[in-house]
Amino acid sequence: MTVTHENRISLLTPEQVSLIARRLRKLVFPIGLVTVILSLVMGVATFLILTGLTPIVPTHNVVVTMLAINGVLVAVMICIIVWQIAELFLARKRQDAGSRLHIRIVGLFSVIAVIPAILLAIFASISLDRGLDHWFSSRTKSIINSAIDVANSYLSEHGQVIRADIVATANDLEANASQFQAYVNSITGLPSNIVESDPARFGPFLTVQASMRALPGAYLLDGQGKILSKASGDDEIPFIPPSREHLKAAEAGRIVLIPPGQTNQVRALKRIEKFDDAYLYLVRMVDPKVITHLRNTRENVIEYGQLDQRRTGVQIAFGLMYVAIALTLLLAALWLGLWFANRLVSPIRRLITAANVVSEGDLDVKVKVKKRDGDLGQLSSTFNTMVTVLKEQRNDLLNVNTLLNDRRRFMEAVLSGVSAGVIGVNVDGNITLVNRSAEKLLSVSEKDLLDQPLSNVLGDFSDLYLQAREQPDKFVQDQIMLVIAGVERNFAVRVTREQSGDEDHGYIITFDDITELVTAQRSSAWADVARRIAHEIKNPLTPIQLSAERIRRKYGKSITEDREIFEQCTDTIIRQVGDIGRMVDEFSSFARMPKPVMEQNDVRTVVRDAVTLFSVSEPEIDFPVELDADPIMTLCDQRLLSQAVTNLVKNATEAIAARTEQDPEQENFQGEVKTVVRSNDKNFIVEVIDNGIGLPAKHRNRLLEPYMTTREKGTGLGLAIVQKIAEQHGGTVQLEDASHFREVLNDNKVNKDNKDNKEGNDTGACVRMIIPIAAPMGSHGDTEPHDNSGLKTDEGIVSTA
Amino acid sequence: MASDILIVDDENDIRELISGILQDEGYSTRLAKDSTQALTAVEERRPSLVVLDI
Repeated sequence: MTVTHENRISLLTPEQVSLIARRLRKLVFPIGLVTVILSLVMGVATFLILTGLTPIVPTHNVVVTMLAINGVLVAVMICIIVWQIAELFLARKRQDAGSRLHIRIVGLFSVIAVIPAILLAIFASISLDRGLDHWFSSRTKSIINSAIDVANSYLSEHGQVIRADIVATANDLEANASQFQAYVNSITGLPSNIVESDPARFGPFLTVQASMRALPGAYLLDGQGKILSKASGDDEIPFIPPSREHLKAAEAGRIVLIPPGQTNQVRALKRIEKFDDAYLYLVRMVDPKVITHLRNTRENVIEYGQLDQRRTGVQIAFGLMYVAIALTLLLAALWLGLWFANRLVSPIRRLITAANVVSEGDLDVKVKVKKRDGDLGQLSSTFNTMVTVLKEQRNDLLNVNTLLNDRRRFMEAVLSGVSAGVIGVNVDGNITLVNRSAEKLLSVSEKDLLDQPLSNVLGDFSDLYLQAREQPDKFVQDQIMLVIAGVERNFAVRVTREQSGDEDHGYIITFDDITELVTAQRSSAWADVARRIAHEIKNPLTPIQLSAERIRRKYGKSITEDREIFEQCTDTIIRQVGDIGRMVDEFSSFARMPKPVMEQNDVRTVVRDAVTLFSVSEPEIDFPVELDADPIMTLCDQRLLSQAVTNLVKNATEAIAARTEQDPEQENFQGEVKTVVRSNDKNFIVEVIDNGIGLPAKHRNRLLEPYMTTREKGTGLGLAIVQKIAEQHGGTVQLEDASHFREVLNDNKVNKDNKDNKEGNDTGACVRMIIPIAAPMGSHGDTEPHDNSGLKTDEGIVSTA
Repeated sequence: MASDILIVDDENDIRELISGILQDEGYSTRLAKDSTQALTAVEERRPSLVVLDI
């Protein structure tokens, strides 16, 4: 049946095949169950019938039928089992979950089931053989034969006795025959009718004879078996006439002994020679029990003989039966084993399958829990619980992960968006994190910093970091000055410990560029002071000046003696007071610098005009001007820009003057202030390069602050004003040494660079203004690019030594 | 009587100086250090000129 199904299956689609297979698998169990039960019932029935415990006689036909039915059932079971085993091996070939375990369990059950069945069969056939041997042993045979012999001897003894009796009686009859001859002839005329002719005479004679010999019956019969005469008292026993064969045998002259047969009489028949056709017939009684026993014994002997002849056949039949029953049992056990293994393995298989699915990461799997699975069912439900818990935990983890990711993204966004520089340092002092602002502020690349020891790459921060490590509870901050791209910058640095809880916590260094802030703070503080002081100073100046002038006017004419001294003193007072007044004006004008008025101008013109004034007033110094060939048109306040350039050139001339004063004997020194105006795409650059006393190495940037000066008489406002004007135009000011430009200058100074001067020439300053070119944008023409927010500050131009 | 000039200034020095210089030139001056005095002085006699610190 398997084959036919498979043939059909091969024509179907895989889905249908699996569907049919599933249905078949479902059908297999009931079919198997029914078959097994039927087989067992049939086996028991066969056994009962064979052992004769049922009314059905185990005839040949019955036995064959039973065997055939059993055979069919066994065949069906074999089919089912083969199919199931084939499925098992297919599953194993497919490497299905639990198939190996399944096969093992089936094997074990089969062995457990088969061994007793086989043993039983062996024992059964051996004991059968042994039993039969006993039954047919020679002793048993001799016992049976002796019993027969005894019975026969008993009967033959009776026969001998009755033979003797009949011979004697016949002799007596014949001896008296002559007395009856005449009598018989007279009556019948025939010799054979003598008894009939005188039965009364023979009657007493027979009676005498019978009683003398203790015979229960004695008869005189004719040739037909008719009673001619009989002994009296014969009525007590029934008369059984002898058969015709016996009469014939007696007629031949023999003494005929008739064995008891169905009766309990031993009879003898003899022809009386002296009479014609007369027979003596004697009856002797035998014990009826003996007769019955004898008969039974005979029958048994006959059956025994038959059995002995059929012995092999019986043995084969029994053997077959045993085989059939054993097979039935075996197959039933096998099937039970299979079924049990299926039951046992199927939850395990489900578990393994589910576990495989889980191991592939799918936690949505659920094992079907059946109540009849018992402990395995409990295991399944535990497994389900486990998977559920696992799933919940995984979901929790995923959620937490998502949350963390969100936070991380948020933190990254914050880090990259925040203007402060952030540097992460781990417990070993290595840098783990650098945000974009930090890169920008320090003008370094993240690659150069990551995983490097802080002390190596950012030594300035390292001290603060170490300080923070020593005092983990406090939070450490300080201001640190760094030279970034040639520009001194102020950083407010703060070191914070990570709040991680465990011991390996890192540190976060945050820092802000507060250069502008510091400058602005200083400026505003100074401007405040300047405004107040200017007011307070200017007030007394007026009376002093007025007083001095009044003294000169009122008493100048009346003084005749040492009039020059009087004039000089009053002049000095008036002049110095005027100087103070101008200085105060300068202060207050810086403190409240006018807002620039932006107009379209050519920078070149503005710069050239400003410098030209100096070449007139300072004839000892050269003022070369290098300008771009093309006009540099930009929005700027001409007056402010001019003032800035004027301040720069004035500073330069003062630096040269200072150098001359410092070293008056220096010969061959030609002061020179070179002004360069150039432009690139974004900016125009004004450089004022001198060969004066040069800039101080330290705190150079503070020169841009108000009231910072290196000169005794300086207000410290020149560069501050330049800075402020540059800022108002969205630009910056850089202070550098002029040594970079020395060669250029030397080329210009023909025959003036001897060795003595070389060192002296190696000074000088270069002040550079970098200001973005602002094109007029429609109505925006008059916008005022104050502060750095208005226009982008361009940084990153060259660096100083 | 020469021209009468009223000088109003809260600074004593300045008041005195201006007054002195004007007197040197032959003017008669009066002094007031605040608005009350100035108004009183004007009510009293109208000056030819007022030098007023505003």
